[in-house]
Amino acid sequence: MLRHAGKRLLAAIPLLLVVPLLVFLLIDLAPGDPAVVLAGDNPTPERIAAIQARLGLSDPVVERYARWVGAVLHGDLGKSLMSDQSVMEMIIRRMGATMSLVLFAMVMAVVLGALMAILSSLRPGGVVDRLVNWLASIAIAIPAFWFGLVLASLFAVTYRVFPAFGFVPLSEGIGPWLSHLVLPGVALGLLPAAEVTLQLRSALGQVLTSDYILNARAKGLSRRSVLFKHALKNACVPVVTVFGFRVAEVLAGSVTIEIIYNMPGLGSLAVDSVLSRDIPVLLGFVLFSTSVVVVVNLLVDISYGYFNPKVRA
Amino acid sequence: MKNVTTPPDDLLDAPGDPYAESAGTGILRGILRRRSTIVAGGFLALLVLVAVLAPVIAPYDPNVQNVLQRLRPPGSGHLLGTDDYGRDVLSRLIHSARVSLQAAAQAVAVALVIGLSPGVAAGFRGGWLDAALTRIMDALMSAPSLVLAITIVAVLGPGVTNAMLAVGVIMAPRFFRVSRATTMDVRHETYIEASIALGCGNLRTAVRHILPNVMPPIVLVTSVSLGAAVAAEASLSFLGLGVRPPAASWGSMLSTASSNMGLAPYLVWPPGVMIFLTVLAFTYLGDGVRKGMLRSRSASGKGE
Amino acid sequence: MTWRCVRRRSGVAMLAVAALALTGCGSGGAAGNDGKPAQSTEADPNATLRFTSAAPIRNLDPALQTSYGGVGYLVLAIDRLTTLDKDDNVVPGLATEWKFAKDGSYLELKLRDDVRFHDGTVFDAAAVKANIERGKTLEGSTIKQNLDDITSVEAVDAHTVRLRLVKGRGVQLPSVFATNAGMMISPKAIAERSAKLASDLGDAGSGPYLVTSFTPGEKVVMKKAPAYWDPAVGQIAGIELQAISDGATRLRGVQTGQTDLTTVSAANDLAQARQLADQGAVDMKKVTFRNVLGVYLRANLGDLTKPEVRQAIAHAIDPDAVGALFSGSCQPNRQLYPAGSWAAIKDYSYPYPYDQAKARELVQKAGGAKVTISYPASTNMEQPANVIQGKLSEAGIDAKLNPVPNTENEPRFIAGDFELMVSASWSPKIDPADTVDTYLLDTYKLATDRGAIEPDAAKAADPTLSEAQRAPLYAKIWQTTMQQAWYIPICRLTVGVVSNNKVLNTDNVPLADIGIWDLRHIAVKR
Repeated sequence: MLRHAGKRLLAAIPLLLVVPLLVFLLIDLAPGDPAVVLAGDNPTPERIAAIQARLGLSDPVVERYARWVGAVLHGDLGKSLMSDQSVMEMIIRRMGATMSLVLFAMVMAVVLGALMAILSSLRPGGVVDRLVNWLASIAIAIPAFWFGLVLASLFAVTYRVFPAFGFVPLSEGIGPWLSHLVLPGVALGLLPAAEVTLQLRSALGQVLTSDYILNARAKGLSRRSVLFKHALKNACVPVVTVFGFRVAEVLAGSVTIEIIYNMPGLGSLAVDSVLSRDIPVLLGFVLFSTSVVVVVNLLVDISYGYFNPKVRA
Repeated sequence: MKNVTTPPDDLLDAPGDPYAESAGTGILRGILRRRSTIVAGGFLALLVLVAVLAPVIAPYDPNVQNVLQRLRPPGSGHLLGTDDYGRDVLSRLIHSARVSLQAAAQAVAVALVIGLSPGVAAGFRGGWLDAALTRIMDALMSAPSLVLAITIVAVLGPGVTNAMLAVGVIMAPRFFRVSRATTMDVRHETYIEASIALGCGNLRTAVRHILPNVMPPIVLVTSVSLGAAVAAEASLSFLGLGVRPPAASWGSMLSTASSNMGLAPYLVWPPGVMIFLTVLAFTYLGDGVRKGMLRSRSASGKGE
Repeated sequence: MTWRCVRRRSGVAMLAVAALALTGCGSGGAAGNDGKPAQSTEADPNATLRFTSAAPIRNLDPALQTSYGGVGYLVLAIDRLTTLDKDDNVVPGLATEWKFAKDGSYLELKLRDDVRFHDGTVFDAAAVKANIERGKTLEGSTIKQNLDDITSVEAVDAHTVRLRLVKGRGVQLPSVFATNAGMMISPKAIAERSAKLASDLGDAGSGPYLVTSFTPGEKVVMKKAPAYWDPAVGQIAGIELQAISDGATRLRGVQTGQTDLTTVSAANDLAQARQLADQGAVDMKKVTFRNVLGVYLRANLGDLTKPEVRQAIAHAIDPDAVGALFSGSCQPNRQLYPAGSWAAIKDYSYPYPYDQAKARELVQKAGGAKVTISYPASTNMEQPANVIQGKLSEAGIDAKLNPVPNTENEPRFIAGDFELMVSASWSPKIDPADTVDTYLLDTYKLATDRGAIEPDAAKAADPTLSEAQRAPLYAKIWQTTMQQAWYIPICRLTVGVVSNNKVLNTDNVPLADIGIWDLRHIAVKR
């Protein structure tokens, strides 16, 4: 088990190297020189040249990449070209909003998804089941950013139930934190919630008709207790797999949501850094989000062992 | 940004039917048996028709401005109102269908090109080629997709074609995975081993015998991906990285709606609903294809 | 020795290029006599103001500001030698008087004698010397150019300082001192932690407010400084300044009560702000931009090399269409200097009035034309650019739009990357010589046929000439510029200062007319 996890982790290392290299090469091809932007509203050629020299922008790509990897190995993500802040600090500071948002969306996905799936599994083919299935299929096609816009115009502007934009860290109280998260979180969580619903519903359907469950039913256990005691755990495997994929996509979806709700998160940081060619910040973000995806997939792997003892090697 | 769920892998990875022709008609029959699939397909066909005939159908030139008529609510002159340059929203919506569908097709074509043949090659040859290609595709999959797309667009400049190239690259791993898995499954079937033993070249074997097996699951991924690409194009255009003004796409129309939310709340509905319906239609179509395949497979006593 | 007092009523010389960021601020509220409202009895000294700005501030060092957007934040914490009132008059700041030597060899400043920096250090002539020298020598200093005309600084006594000038130059310095180039920080901080000021200003300033927390590019939190020499300034306990680039979001903030005050200048936002103001949901004060919204052309690139194409473009642009976009709040302006200024052309009419037929004819004559319109994406220039594109297409020009990140638009046009740009960065400077240098001959280099204006420009820059003698020379230069269509002035935008009804003095926000905002007079109702 541990060895398996260790192997997966090792296999992830080239991945963590390749993705930033890709970004390095891409950014290098882009028109627009960060030095020009840094030179400000009144750039002179001398000033631009001085900035280029100071930042080492005129060195070959490979050399800059090697330097970056070397620094990262020493735990140094470099400094932002634009604001001169430590990239590590910027990411840590911005992490709060994004992680809160993703957490909200994922928790909503699991709670709402499980609830809906269980409700519909109580009586397969019944009114509730059909309604849930129908709602979930519809929810899957709703673009998150559009939903975000509609929610904002309804519940922040027309009826002022929730704040229209911004983010308040958890340290300033759970109430304000949550109230700022509700609208963007629901917008972002709708799609994964629908997916969890559909996955869990179909997984439960399969498990409930399996011999093992039919046996348990034959022994006189009620449908309800079979559902909660046995079926749910077995049905979790495909759901967890989907969940792993979704984390990456929810992270991606958070970009537009953060922009609509003007949340100081990683997504807006990434977009800004691309547009201003702030390479160190972009690389830091790419490394961070790739790592998150790798870790989540690893956790998913490990969780298989818990949900399904057969996988345990 | 990928707004559409990929069907569970177990179905995609199941080996296809070696007798492609009969399977094809079987699948078609299976597909057409479902009403929702017909409705979805019908909607998409209509949408394509509207897109093709856009210049004929649209009541106004979508890009002609009339600033004095800006932000007029829906009414008799303009069925869906006008936007902040006084352009007719309905006409822009119709022309956007063109942009959005074309964009989706471009993205999926790119994904097909990048994903399909390497997938077949990787599954067929195995070894280092497989390892290397899989690694690259894994990297693409774990990279933050929207940011990667934004980076690509920042490099190539905004524009639908560039944006869709980016989306295509990001979607390629799905096609790679499916085609690789299917190829690997049928690689060691006797008739394929036989074909190789008979001296048929690798390419010939791949095209004649493997591709027909790979195609059905690919058709399914294509349908689902088209929906995802429509949503992705909308996201990128919403961020101002997709379609270039003054042309419109549903995403850029939403961006206009967002900056006029207070004065013209009605602008948010038409493009949003169109994206929603199109994605939904592609999902249902994909679902229909999948169920049709299952049915035909179980009908011929295979699969499951 | 006779002194010439130059406390002249002057515009904002050097801030000129700016205003890409375009957060204007207006002002409203209590009656201001001479820009200085008396401390209002209805003001709440314990209130906190939440302000949102379009432009971010990336560092707090006044000598390292790369864009004008940051100046608005800094003026609250750091005092300048001079300040501007809301009508762009240069008024005393830390310097109470300023005089040029008759021969122009130096500029002498009388300084306030009752000012201490927040860290307790006394403000005196030595502090001015330390700051100016720092601005001239600091690595990466962005105010070096502004201080170029000063050769050395000498303290006459503790509160009088003399700036030695390059011969025949420096007339713009008093107004330059109202920008970040005139900001004074504690000599103690300069000596001890010069490099750290960018991220941690601490108590190095002497302004009405003190920075308590700073998140680069996002947020600055300030509290009232313990004591300030001007009792009419700094009337609230604290200010939270947040950068939000999207105007609709800023407006939503004031509308929903999440924030108190913001400025908007994009067409949609202004229209919406007006509607909200009519409904009584928000309060709005308007300020007309000093800067001109217009089109910059590179007459040596692509199809723009053909004079007919440039003329066609000029004829095709309809100032009324752009005005309609802004619901009439973009004042048509087809001159390079505001009418009434001595440097403006008398009895003037624009050579290429709106005329689509003429434009089409010219395009046909040129055998078609292709042009790419660059503009700063997601700013108030987006819509004018779209309207201009529509008009050029109507005239048969193949016009494409090229949205460019806001930070890159101006620098890359200056670098020669774009052939045509829509921008509101044209700012008529106090002295027309400065305008000619900035836009026509130097930085922007719009005059592709330098010979056509260079002799006149050289003649007109002679400091011994009177304004009356210089005016006709400049009139000739402006005529050439228009005739050649190197630049097409269109109109002057309006900035809306939007607040809830608790914010006072919103009609007294200096710098708003160039897209910056000085909130020193703002107060909040009890």
